[in-house]
Amino acid sequence: MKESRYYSRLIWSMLLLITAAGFFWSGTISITGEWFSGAVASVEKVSTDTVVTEEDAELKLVPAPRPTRADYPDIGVSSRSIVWVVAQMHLFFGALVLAVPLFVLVIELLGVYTGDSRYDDMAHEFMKISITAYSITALFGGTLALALFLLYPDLMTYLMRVFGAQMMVYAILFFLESMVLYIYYYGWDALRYGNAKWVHLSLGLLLNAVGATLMVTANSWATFMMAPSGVNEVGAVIGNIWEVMKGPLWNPINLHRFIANIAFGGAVVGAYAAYKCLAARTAEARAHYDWMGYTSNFIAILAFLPLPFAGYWLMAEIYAYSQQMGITAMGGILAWLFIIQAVLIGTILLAGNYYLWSGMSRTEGSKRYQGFIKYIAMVLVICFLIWVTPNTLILTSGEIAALGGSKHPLLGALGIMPAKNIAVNLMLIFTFMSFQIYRRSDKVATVSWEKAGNALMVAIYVVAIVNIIFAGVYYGYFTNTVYKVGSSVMQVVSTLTVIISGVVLDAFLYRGAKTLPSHWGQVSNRAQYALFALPIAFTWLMALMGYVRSSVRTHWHVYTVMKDTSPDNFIPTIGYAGNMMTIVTVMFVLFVLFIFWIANLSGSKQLPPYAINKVPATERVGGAA
Amino acid sequence: MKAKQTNDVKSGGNVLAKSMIFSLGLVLLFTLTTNLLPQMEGEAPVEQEVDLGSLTIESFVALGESLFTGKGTCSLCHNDLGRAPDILGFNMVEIAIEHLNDERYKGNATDAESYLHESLVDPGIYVVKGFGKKGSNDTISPMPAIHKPPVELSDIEINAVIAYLQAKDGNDVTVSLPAKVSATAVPSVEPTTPAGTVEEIITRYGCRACHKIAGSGGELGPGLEQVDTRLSPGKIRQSIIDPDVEITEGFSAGIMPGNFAEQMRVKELEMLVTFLAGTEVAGSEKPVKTSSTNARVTGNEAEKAIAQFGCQACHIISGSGGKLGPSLENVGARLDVDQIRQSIIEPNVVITEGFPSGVMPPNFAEQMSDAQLDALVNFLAEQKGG
Repeated sequence: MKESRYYSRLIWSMLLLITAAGFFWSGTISITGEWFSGAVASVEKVSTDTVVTEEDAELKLVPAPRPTRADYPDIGVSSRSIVWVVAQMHLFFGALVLAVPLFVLVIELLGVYTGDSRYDDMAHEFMKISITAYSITALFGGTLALALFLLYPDLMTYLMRVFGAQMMVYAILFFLESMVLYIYYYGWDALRYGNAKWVHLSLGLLLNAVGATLMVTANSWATFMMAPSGVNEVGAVIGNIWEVMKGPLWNPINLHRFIANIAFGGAVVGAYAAYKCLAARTAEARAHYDWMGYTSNFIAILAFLPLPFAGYWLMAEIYAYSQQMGITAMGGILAWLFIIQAVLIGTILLAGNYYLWSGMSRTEGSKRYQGFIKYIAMVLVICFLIWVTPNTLILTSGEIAALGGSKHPLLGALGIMPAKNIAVNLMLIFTFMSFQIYRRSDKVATVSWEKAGNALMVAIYVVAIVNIIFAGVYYGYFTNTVYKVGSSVMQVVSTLTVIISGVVLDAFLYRGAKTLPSHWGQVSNRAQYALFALPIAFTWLMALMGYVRSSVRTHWHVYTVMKDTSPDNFIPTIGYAGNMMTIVTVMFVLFVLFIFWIANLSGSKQLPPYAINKVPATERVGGAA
Repeated sequence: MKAKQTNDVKSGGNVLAKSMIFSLGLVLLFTLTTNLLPQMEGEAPVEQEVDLGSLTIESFVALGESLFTGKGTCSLCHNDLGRAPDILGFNMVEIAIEHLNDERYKGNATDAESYLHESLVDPGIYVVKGFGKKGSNDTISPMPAIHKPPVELSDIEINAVIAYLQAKDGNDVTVSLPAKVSATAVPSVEPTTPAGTVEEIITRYGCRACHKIAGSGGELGPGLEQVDTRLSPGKIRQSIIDPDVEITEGFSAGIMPGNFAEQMRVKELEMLVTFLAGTEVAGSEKPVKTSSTNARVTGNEAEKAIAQFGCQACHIISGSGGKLGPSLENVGARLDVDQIRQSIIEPNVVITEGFPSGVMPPNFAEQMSDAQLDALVNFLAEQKGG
């Protein structure tokens, strides 16, 4: 028995390693199969072959279409708005169904190692949400494909020509994902113990591997449109499918979406837990959902902390690909959207911190740390205000005269990126501090080197904060622009050092620590509303950043090779875009409520008529939470 | 605490309504923020018709300024934020001369105008110190070639930008005003269907106006009869798409129009490259030597002659063409029938002011039939502008 378990674990670990290696080192693999090469050919090949028929030349080197305005079907409603809404809904649910199985797998694994069945139950309950979301994702995906083929036929013809058989692979993977998902969910109880559990975990791994492959495949379409590769100047395909997929922005987007999906999924299931916690009719149910909400928030914030760094990499690659595109995003017409981004991320961080502070009421040991909260709050608010300070102001000539220039004499210096980089890094560090003191609040260290360990932690915080401020001020205000960006690497490293060393140090410092009693459920209702704020802000933020990512192409369907000549080929006002984001967010919330309702419904059971008078009212249909 | 907890548990009844109101309030707060910010639309570049008949240097400079901040997107990077040299803060004519004398300069420009033109269409030739792509040691420019996507300024628009850059600091504007054509409709010799044979391609794009191919053609450019012995297919392709990158010894840069890549279909380009590289394209006809005796003229003779002899490679006719030679849009108003005929047969006898002699091949009379010459002369004599 022991031996077979050992082999199961070995096989499972190998699968995990292979998947991870495949994902992260995918850049070194190239697809050379003939199956993919049917639709593509290299220019060199065409020019050096001794016999090349006209038909071949025409088939293989067809430039991107150049549609005129008349080529776009007019259905009386803005085509862009339709695609905008449907695509965004598909992306929301796609992110949810890709993220949830990922942390469900981790939670399930945690349940196996700790032997705590709460983890297993919670993971199963999360999957219940994901299973309905999956159907909705597919429905919106189908609608999106229909809308695109109907409203943007030339673009879709072109993309089909460029990606060819890869789109079929996507479809096949979708079927595979569906099959594995259903087996994983419905086989949960059948494969719950012993070796069967490892089979179940392997299915979870396979589900995530297929999901991640689906995501990176679909990402390649989006990144091709932003930074086309494998095609020549006029859009004719000259590379193989791997060269088409592996554009300069593909991996940055893959990483960014991968992390963001986890944060988003954590936030959404956190809202589910918050709703159930608030609606709980028994203290036991409230305690369970309070714990579930805490775990979800933990996942969301933990995934969220490195997200700005993935975003930084993406933006750096955009600048490297096309400085013009980068500046259009961050210094041109789209720059104001980053002020909105600051508002949203500020909301997320403030809500996440507030939830942690409120949660400290669960344990009496938290009194030791409550004095820190007001200072952390102060730093967060100040940094938030710096972050939302705009760089450019829309002023009248009278206002410019009164100010003595187009920028405020004091606030002008806070509107530029170096100040914002300082602010955002400090916000992340102090959020981690909230997280750290929360984690410490129910423990008392027993190791002999406790004081030295704490002193080291304080020193790391101080050095990192000083480094972040120094790098931002010195490089940001006393050197030229090129170094302003370079300094942010130092800042990022400082922040990551605090986070990693904090986690590692606490792991050793609190080994064998005395645990103080925690009372799950003993938390204010306001804290649960913070858990609603997180997914709302995350959803809106995803809509916003997706819009920015798409809009940097300006009037191009496929940047530099296929122009958008449709009636919607302009960048709308921020207000219009904001209204669209609100529409999709509200729609998403309504659909999520539907999912929660379905999830509840599946757990409800109508009592037979003869028994209805024998049970208390609270335990009838839907009574038990 | 217990009493509070009990209250919390009891308050579950209105959870849905409260959570919805809270969520909606938050969403509306974000929406309000977006609606309070400055509301601007980013229009796609609009193809504008410019009345060049009434164009003055002042309005040409103004056009350049609007392109600098608009379609050209120059001001996106060239501002005082340090992303690219602050063009508005410098006298660009003085800067151009300074850069021309820099030992790092490797281009072909000889004066401020050609330097500015070169820096717009091939920004990598000279990268200002500190502004190169990261890690390139200032050898690669992050600026896109302005005549290619995504900016795609036309030749006239590029000249307008140069005029603006010269004029903004009080320098003389040396670029000449364009003839009466649409500012955005410059090189668009784009037939509805791709040429079917190599001969058609050579005729359509007027290659023989400058190059000797299959026994006939001009001598302004190098002969292409055995080009495969000195250039690879890749080099041949490059010399069509970007002709000034490498110049054959004994010939000058800047003569061959740089817009063939925009005019040709990919298929046409590849057929031509394959032919010149010495490999025959199946299904295409081999080019034949044209002569005055075997050219039969039917239909619209003038238009066919213009296409066959590639007049638009150097001259603007009917709204499109190159700028190497004078525009023929209103040649009928400047020259009479005999003068036009003489300009075709003996092009170097009388030279239009502002254009060099010796550029137009003198052998058109040998290549054209009398009917073709007559049709062309009569057609051009009717071009009186207005």
